[in-house]
Amino acid sequence: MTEPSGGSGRPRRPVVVPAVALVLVTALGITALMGGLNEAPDAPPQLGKGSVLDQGLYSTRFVESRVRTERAQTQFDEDKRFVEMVFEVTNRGDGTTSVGIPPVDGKTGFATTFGGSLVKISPKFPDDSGPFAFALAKGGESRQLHPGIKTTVIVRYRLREGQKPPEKITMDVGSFEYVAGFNDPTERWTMVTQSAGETIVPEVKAQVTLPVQEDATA
Amino acid sequence: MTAVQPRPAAVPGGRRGRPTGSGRGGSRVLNALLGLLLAGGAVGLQTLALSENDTGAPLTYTGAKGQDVDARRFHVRLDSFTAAKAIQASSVKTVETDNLFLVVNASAKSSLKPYHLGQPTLLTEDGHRFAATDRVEATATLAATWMQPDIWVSGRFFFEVPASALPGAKVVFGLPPSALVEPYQPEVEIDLGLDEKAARDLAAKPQDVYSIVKK
Repeated sequence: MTEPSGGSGRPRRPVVVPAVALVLVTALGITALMGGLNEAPDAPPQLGKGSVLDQGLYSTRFVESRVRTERAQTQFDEDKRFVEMVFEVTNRGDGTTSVGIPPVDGKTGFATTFGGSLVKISPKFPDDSGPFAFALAKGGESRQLHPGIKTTVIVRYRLREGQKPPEKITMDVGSFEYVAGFNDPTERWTMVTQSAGETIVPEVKAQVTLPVQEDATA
Repeated sequence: MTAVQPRPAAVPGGRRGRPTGSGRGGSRVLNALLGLLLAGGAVGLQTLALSENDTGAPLTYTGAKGQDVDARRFHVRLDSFTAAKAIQASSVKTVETDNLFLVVNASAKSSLKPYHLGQPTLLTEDGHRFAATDRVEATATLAATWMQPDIWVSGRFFFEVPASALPGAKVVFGLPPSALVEPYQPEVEIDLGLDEKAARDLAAKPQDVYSIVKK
């Protein structure tokens, strides 16, 4: 057994090793050409009405989007129409946080508020129509999300007279993680980000599309 | 068994000479054990080290209900507390809740210069921090009043919390947040002294309406 293998194995060795090497180098080259071993950025998952998203600091259910009319309270007031997005937000952190408002176009905030995590809302609304955001409390409003409590949050835009609401609203939703800061070792909740060229942008955890329901009362 | 005697014997015998001194072999084992113990202790102590968040935390002065707690810069005393289902903020405005409003009556004075108190937080037994509610205007709370040296001022603070947050809860008073970051700010942590039963009793019989309207 030893003798035949020694006789026939010797000429094979110089063939196998370079062949394997060549295959490896080619594979490495192809991998490098296709962008290395980094995970290819996946498109964020698409979520719909009623879905629940874990945002780290918040656990959020996207309840619905609707058109609502607020009746005038006094004779000097007028009826107001809003496109509302309704969320059920549970603060899973240790402390009370603020509801916040979604960042106004072009100015990406990295706030740890719930509103700050609605990174992009499309279609765009004119600047003077909002967004407004608040938490519903019994018979009133609040700007606070208390820890461990499920709160209904409304984000809304005002519609002008005769303005048609969009058929659906799509939101890019970010998330948060509890980590030490960039140059500060204390740990805190920060928005999950990724680098895009020379800037840093929030990482989109999911894209949520809600159909806008027509006003039931109108 | 002098120290000199075994050594000449050990040189020709090489290593085998060492175990002849049984006391020495024992001390080596003991030394090794002691070393391990010390190293283990040192490693163990590291687990007690403060985290970065704890190192930067405020200086907390603790106390109980009714006690004058000296935080060096100011004094706080928690006089009483009560629970309510609704708070009448003005003749036309009453805020209601499905949870509970915890109304805390506190007194405060400063030591050297005037201060405002910040809105307090309610620290629950499981480590949650509830900020004072924003549904009652801050102007109706003690935070709106100046604390002067040696003049006690009294007022209320309002929390909106679920009944489950009450057992073992503490109220934490501090100075209002400022743009200037100051490490080791003083804060006063006062235990409400609510055990399971007392918390249940408090939550079971809240006032229907707690009025803060000035007559």
